[in-house]
Amino acid sequence: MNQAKQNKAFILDYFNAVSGTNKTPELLAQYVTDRELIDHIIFFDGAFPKYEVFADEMTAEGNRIVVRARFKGRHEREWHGIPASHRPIVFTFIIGYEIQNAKIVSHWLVADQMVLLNQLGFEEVLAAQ
Amino acid sequence: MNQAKENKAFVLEYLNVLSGKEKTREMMAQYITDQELIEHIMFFDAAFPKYEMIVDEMISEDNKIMVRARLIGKHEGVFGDIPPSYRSVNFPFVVTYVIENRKIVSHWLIADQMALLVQLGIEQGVAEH
Repeated sequence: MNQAKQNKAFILDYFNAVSGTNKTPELLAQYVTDRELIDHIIFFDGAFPKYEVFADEMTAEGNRIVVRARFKGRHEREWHGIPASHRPIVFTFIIGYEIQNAKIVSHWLVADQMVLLNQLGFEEVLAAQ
Repeated sequence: MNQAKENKAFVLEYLNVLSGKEKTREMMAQYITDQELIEHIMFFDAAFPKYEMIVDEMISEDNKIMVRARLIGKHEGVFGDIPPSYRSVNFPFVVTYVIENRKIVSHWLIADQMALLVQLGIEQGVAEH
């Protein structure tokens, strides 16, 4: 199996392990050494507990892999000053990983925050103020 | 040169031809058959005339290529219902192209609309995390 295929299998395993569960530092440490990514995941799992992630498309080359993915969760706790709305949230994000020795060592992420904020009712929150 | 390398060279040429210039239909027809992408580019070039694109990363697999890049421009035309602000914008986007016979035949694109609206002075945004 070449490196790109191995990395796709690794990322699918990682997504399956963290999706729909409590994302603890111990669980994440099995797959990720990138501290910024770990903190980001724990921050989102705090506001959207046990959120799910689905990989819709993967493109891999060498030690890099880009995933077009969906985030699915419920807004159960305060997020960036927005109180829990208990709304279901689904949005697309694109994440690139660098993988070394079966660990994610760095990442970048692009998501359309506007989609998320609209689903949280942020515009209504602003309008009410 | 394998397909992935050929596609990288093709996309770099395409981006270099368009970047920093008025993006005409004739110019784009040399590289794109995806009508939705052409309309999208025309829309943005009207709002941010002669916008530039800076490539940060390309990952290629088979007939797909993923480009992480930044759009750099000045808001000098109407953008949706937002009148020109004459502000400079610099925001990241990720685009994936499917390439057949040296033409972009389909694409998907994601950008953070919130980052753009913050730079245009429309939204305050939320803290990065």
